Amino acid sequence: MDRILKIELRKIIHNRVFWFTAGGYIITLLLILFGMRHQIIRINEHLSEGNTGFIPMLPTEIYSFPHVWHNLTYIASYLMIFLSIVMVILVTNEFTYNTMRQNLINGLSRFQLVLSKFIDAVMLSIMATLFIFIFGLISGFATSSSIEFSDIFSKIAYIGAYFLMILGFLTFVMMLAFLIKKPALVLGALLLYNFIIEPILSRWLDESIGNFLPLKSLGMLIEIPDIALFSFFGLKPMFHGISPLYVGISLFYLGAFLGISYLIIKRRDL
Amino acid sequence: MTTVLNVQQLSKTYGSIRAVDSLSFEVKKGSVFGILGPNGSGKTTTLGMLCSAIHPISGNFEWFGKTPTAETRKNIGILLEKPNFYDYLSAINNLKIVADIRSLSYDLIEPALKMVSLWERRNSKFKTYSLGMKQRLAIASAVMGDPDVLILDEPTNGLDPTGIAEVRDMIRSLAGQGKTIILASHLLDEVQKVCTDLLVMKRGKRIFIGNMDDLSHPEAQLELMSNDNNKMIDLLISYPNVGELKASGNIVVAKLMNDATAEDVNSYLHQNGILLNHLVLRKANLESQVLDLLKDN
Repeated sequence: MDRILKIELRKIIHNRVFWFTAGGYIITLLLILFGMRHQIIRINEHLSEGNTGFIPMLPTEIYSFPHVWHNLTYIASYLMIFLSIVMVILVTNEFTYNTMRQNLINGLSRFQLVLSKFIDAVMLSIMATLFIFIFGLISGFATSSSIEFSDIFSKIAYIGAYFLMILGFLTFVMMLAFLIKKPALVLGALLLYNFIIEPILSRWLDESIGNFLPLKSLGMLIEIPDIALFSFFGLKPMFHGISPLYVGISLFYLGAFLGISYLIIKRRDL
Repeated sequence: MTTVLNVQQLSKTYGSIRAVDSLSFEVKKGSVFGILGPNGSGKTTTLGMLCSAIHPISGNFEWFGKTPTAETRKNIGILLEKPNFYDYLSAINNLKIVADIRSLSYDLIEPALKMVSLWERRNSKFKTYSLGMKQRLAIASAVMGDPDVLILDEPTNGLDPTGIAEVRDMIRSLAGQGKTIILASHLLDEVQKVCTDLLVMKRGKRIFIGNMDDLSHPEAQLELMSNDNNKMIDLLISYPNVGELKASGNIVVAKLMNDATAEDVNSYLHQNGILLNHLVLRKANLESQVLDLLKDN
């Protein structure tokens, strides 16, 4: 296990695509987060001109404890495509360089081959989650007017939900990459499924079933935060908190993606 | 001698093509086992199955008397088809990955790279290597950690003459240390120079297996020409020490049987009134024997 971790770290650390994409992820996220706060302040300035009191002011401090955890993770979930690109590259490289076969004949088992890529997914998820956690702490301390310890971590469960959501998503990407092998085709299939196939399916099916489709279920882990800003953009908040049902379903899907990945590699000639 | 590898009725099909067809053979410890065959004869598919990369459709094989696992493969140095490394990693990082997979110490990397003269270029990325350097790195990776068995698939591919000679010397020296080596090649010369045993494959089938001596103990043929070829042919047909006869122009080619010598044939013909004006003993070399094998089947 630690050998595999060491091997994967060596591959990731020297991989330029990883650094570019990780950098892109962090910069884009920071731009959105800072930009959003700036926009809210500007919108509020406009609203306050001749405001008769009918239109509520938008909350400026969406990054204050404890709501920061929910708001940040929700916004960051839109940027999973960056992490997907890294994941696709890390898996399809093994086919491009034929190292999947080489590592097998050098002595990894087929299970370890799949495990090594799942470890990549776990590492990427930890890195992304850690970044959000640190950013959340900093912005929380910077923007919360009065900080009580109980407030800071009262919604920290969203960080866990974010981790599970990314890990589930990346495991799905890993499965697609094992299946399709070619990076461009994997990304195409991912976008096609995420933005066309699953939305159509979920419309076509009854909502009670459609919400349990794989990526939709993962998305349901972090629902739209109940803050005026998002209503302003036409997004409607639904429930509050993290639904244990969706945690369970997400874990189930994660296991299924992993199992299917193993079956693909177990049966295939490498 | 103990058996390192035992292959029984191994088969693989791709669609309607039988890439490997009921192949059986045994490799003894300490032998240099050559697998010879033209391109597409199923050599690499066979080795792929022996490395567990390819699933056979039927048949089985045992390494060291046991059904192989991933652990078994750590004891076998394998160079299959072409060098496979991470393009963007240096030689040293690539070999560190191999060392981690095979639970070897990083200390083994330096001697391995030095052996194939790549130590100076250890920090260059794999993609900057020439084909010959890539092949040498693959050889370094296979022999690193001193495995008991080596599988080398076309190991001199892409190497220049010096490189080819070096690899052959290396194979001989490893064989001298008692390693078991399985060498696949479409180059007869290569197999001839280093192997002790030979398997010849054609269209996935085994068409010859045996000791190298069996093959290179050549069949002798006599070329004969005389004052009366017709009478000579009649005499030779009734002579038990001569087999099959062929005529090429005025020359009669006769296969020698029963360890008979050219003198035997000469004196027999002379006693019967035939005077030879041409007598040449020809020994078929390995090449023509193998070509015959490949042609016949």
